[in-house]
Amino acid sequence: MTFDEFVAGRLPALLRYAAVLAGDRGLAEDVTQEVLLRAHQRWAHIGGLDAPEHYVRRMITNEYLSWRRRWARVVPRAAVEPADPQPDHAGAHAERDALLGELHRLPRRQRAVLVLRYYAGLSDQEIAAELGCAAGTVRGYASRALATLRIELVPSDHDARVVGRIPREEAV
Amino acid sequence: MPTENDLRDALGSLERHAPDPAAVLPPAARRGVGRRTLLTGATGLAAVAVPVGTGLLTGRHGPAVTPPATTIRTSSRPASRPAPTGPPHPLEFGFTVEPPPELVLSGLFPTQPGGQVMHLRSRDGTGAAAVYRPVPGTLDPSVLPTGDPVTVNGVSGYYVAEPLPVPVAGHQAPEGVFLEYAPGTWVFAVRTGLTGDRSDPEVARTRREQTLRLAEGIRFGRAAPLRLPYRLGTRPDWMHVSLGQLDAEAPSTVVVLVHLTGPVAGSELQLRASPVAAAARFLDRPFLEAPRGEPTTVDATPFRPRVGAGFGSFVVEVLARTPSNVWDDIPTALMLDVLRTLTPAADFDDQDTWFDPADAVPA
Repeated sequence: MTFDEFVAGRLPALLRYAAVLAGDRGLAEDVTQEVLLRAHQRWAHIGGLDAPEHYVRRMITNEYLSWRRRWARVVPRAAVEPADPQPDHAGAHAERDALLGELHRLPRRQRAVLVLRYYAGLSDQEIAAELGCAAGTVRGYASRALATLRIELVPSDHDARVVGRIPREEAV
Repeated sequence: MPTENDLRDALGSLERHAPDPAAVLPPAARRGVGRRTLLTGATGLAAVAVPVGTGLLTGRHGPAVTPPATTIRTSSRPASRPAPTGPPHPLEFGFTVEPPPELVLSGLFPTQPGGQVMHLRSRDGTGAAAVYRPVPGTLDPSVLPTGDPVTVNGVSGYYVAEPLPVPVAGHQAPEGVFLEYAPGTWVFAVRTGLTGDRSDPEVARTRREQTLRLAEGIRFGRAAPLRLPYRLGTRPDWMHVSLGQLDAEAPSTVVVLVHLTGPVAGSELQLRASPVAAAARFLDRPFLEAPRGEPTTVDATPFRPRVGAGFGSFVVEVLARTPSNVWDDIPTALMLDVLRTLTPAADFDDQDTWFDPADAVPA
């Protein structure tokens, strides 16, 4: 697979992953751009791997974890956004916004663990390999993050968690 | 209590932030990547240092210190007064905030058209706050929620403890104080990240006090809360400051980011000033940072040009951003011109030597 073929096929998914990980379009763009540049330089090696997309996803994760926080761009919004005319939807949005706000304040490594587990659908063992730590460490990160977010753990969700909200083949 | 499925849904909703692939690596430009040689090491630096060095190093330590600006503030007990008609400069505000000890200024943003917002964040990273001033006379108070009447520094308003239609750091503020400091003219002080369950009366009282304390720090009257560690010498007609951001974790780690409109619609130049500790390898010399491409061909690469220069104690970097990544819109030579004509403040660690925004960048 050439670099161009890889980008043509996997870039949208990589960008979605970066966006979920970073929670910010500009940062996702910056992180992905930096990673693709490095990936291009090393494509002779990366292109020969069984799953280059997993390697590049790991590069994105590591780039995000090491990104200089103070350079994150802040995009101002309108001072007052119109209220949602449907109260139920507004309430749901408020709850989601609150959850996203809490997620945004998590330490980056904890956030990355949650994204890899609940968005990318990786097992703790796979996350450990991705982050270069032990599976127990991953569980520790996840446990602290879920406690911070006050997430209710439902045992029957386990299977869904492993499969992930997005099919594995789609979630880079 | 949210469930794991709620978390999945929330994470999935962030996909909407995914950039357009064309903005990251446009196919036409991508074809050129393989032909570019990354500018690294002494060769690359020398290539840029020769043409740029003279102009930069002559001003390395800056001119005689410009007297500090006079920041006009009201007295410690500001009273209601006629609303300002609008800021003459985007980084000069119709108000300033003396934040409570747990908060620090993190950003200043003009909102269109003519509104202003000041962001603050907590020192421990657990929360954020913002003070908004919509365009005077444009806000219909009927769209705002009602709350408990309060008087803050002689100004009437009310405290609202419910999710507000006002974002802070990207998410909805759960509470805030709305003050009508002149007829039809409002300022909001909103907070997030306050801890505790508000159904507990003691927690509710504490959170209300914390929010009111933010509001009490608002001072009406023109102010330039963001001063700049440099002054631009080039002022093309198209160049206007659009917003500024200050990240001041400590006096020694201040980072100032100013956005300037670019030469074509939607383009932008960003000027970042940071202490040398953050970029020690760029000390005292101009650079074109790898891997942005060769200086003569960088316009054709898909990667954002970035040039910069060290001024002894701090570094200024110029970055370009265009809506379509057409780098010809912002040639590297133009970015270098910005650097060449830039006058650094005498002492980055002493903000009294910094420049007033109206003096430093085009309005």
